[in-house]
Amino acid sequence: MIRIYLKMKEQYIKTEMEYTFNFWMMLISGVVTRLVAMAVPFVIYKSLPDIGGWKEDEIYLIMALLSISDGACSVFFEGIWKIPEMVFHGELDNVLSRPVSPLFQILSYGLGLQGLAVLAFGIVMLLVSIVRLGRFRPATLVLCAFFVICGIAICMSVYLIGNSLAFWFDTGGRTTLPYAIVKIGDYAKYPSSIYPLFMRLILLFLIPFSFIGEIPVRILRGENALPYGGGLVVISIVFVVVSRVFFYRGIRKYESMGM
Amino acid sequence: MKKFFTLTGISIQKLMYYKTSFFLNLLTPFLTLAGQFLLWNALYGLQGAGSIRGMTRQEMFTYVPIAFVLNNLLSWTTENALSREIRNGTVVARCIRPVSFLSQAVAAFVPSLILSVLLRILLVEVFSLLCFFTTGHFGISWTRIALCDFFSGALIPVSLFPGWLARITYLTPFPYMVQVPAAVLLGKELPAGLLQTFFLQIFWIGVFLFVHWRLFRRIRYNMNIAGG
Repeated sequence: MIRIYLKMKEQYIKTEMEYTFNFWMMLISGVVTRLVAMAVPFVIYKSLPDIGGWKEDEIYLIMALLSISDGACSVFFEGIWKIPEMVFHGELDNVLSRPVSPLFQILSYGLGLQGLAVLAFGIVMLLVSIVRLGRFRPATLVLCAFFVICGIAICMSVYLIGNSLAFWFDTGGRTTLPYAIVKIGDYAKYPSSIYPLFMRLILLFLIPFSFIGEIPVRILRGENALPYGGGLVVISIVFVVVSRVFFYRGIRKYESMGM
Repeated sequence: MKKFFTLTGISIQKLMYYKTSFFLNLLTPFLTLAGQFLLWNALYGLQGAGSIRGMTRQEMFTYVPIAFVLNNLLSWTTENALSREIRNGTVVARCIRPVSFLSQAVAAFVPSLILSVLLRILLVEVFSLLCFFTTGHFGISWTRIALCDFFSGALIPVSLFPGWLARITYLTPFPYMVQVPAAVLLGKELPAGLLQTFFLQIFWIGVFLFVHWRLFRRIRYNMNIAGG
């Protein structure tokens, strides 16, 4: 299983590197996008002392965790974003006729290049902000590894649910639906306590991006570590299961395109 | 002019074909707008009625929608579409139509030729032409969108930037797309006089026209059409 996965990733790296200029452009775009996202709180903190009691570096830490999850999803599970196109063009036929689980094939399909840069950038940002917060200890790093794993699981599930919606809604093979969902998830880069209650509930339980960035940082700050940690694990597991169910329900709706 | 409107009609029809996609495309930018409102609302709320760097809550709440409209006059579909056409070869249709390459892009979306919009179209168009070299569009469009959103003042007004960053920003063409027109509209002060500002806008348009012309000529000579 792992061997098939690595083999597929290897092939995709090769195809992506075929266009050299594009390859570098994708890496650059990953870094530039994240830098610009960071620049907004940077500018805000130049004029304001704090956002709802959060330090500048804590906001960067939230963003770093979000970057890592998003970047890792893009590197390891880029295929999720191809579902709408595959459904639209009937390419899912190939996937379904192979003797390996379709979900596994989708996950190992393709490789998001900008994800590589986003992932690396996120890791650097995470380390820098931890050091600047004066929390650089082995325990913190272990905790962060745990947060990242949960974060990737949540991120992957949300992307999978969003893209699987293409089975029900004909969007002409474009990723407009999951993109809209990600846009709402974007709100989570600021502590949710600044938002009205309904928004907080959405970010916690419907599109649980708060659990990727904000809640882990709260745990690091020592706020209600146990309930928050428990919630994080529960949400991760629930979303992974739900997204799997969603995907397989969706496949049943799939109509082939005469080959 | 008739050709122009026909092309506009075609591209609108193309966009409307998939209804879910069409409406979501209309809706998604508003999610970002709502996010900005929530954020600034909270920031001003935490501040207590005061102003942030001389911008009052009212001014900010006028700035945000204006910047939003200016920023979204042109969707990113042009770029997407062009590079996709380059990849699968349908770009050949654009090259044989009896309308110049550039005006086809203009016809596709914006009837009004306000300076900032013109500048934006040119910028997007030049970046799209770069797709001829990369044969992939995501890297280029994401970089452009990120730079454009930030330095144009669409995410956060340039007037809030710390001094050195603002100075750098005004050396780029980006603020002339959102920040400057918004400031003119709101009657806020500009980094230079009004006339100079207009001159600078026209200057940047000239630069991009030139770059576009050079690039397209080069591409014309060694164009690769895949299939078609």
